[in-house]
Amino acid sequence: MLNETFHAPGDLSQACSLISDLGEKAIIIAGGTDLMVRFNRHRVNRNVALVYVGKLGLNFIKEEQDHIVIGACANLADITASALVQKKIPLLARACSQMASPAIRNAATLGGNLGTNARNADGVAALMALGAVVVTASTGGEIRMPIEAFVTTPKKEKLANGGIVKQFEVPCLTADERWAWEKLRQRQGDSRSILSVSLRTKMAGNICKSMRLVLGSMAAHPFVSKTAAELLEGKYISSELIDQAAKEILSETDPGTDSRASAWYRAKAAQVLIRRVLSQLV
Amino acid sequence: MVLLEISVNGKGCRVLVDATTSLLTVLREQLHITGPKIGCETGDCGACSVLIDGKLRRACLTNAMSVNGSEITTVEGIGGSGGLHALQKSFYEHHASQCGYCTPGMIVASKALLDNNPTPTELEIKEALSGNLCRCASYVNIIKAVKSAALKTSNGGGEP
Repeated sequence: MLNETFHAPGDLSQACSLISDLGEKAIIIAGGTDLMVRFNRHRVNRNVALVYVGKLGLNFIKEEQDHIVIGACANLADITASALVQKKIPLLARACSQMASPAIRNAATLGGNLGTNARNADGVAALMALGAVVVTASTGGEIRMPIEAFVTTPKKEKLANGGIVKQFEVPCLTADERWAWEKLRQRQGDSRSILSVSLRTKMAGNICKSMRLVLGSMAAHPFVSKTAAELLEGKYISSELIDQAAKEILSETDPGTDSRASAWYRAKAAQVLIRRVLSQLV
Repeated sequence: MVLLEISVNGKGCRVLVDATTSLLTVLREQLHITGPKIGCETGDCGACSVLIDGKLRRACLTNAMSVNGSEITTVEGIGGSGGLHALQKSFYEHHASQCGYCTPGMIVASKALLDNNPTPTELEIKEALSGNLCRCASYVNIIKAVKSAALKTSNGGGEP
């Protein structure tokens, strides 16, 4: 016999208390585009308590000082269409516009994209390239954490005491910064990433002042390449250096094989995409 | 079980549902509205497309209770008592259905497109229907049908 309950708290503190009280039984649901697949296939213990977070008012997109602050429940369609996102952090608008299909983008949230913890989470990759900070809320208060730290921190630590992801704080691109986003997929519409490469950089002519290059689908999580920063920062970006970077960055990757591509193909294709994004800088 | 109250095609409905039940299950098995089809149940095929408060969504990936209080439009609600919608007529005229299984989803997705963009380009039609699969591969005729319906509705020749 099913013993399911559904809760739709109306404010954040109520939600955190509820999740804390429910403990292991609590399953947080927002757009539901990933979670419902599991329910449809009965892969979830049905003795669950769903906590719907869509009524917490976390679908905002606003500018605060030099950051764009995006609520965890903002959906991908709204982020894509946001004039603020398009103007201040266009990398994220581009990434969200290429995720899934229009119907999914109307429901799927950026917080959910982080919550699925997938290796091909394009929203996470884009936020990581932009240097976003994740803000979580719990009965113990708020915690701010760089997104690259968030994806590798165990859930029990980062979401203790009824914790949920509240918002993302994304630093706006400055006039001297550039960005690039490249995604390899099987077809143009409604296709998950085979891999993605994105970057946020500061250039002075052809000299790279800072480099934040992120690879998606090339390890257990999207990650910021340390090799790219070490190799490129302070250097004149030449075609020889780009070739060297494309080869050496691969040492940080651990591509897998799935129905979309083999690990061998991903490694080959990653070099092409790395060259492609870096070539846009010169 | 929890009480779900929604409006489907303008008619108020109250049903008891399990907390994890999808909107698609409620529509088909409890309300017997069978226009939205069961296809993949993973959000990939688009056969279950519906409008929720005017926005295109997947009924299979929508938790029923999460849309409590919402207005749902299925293919049965497009056109309505006034007869067929311009899109439905156009699908018929352009032979845009073969087996017809994808047609309800295609019509609903096309309606969502034309509601927001009455004169879409072919590329915009393809993008709007990118999440709807047709196993008979009638895509060419489907795109022709949407183009034709857009032309008619934008010229005042049919219900928008």
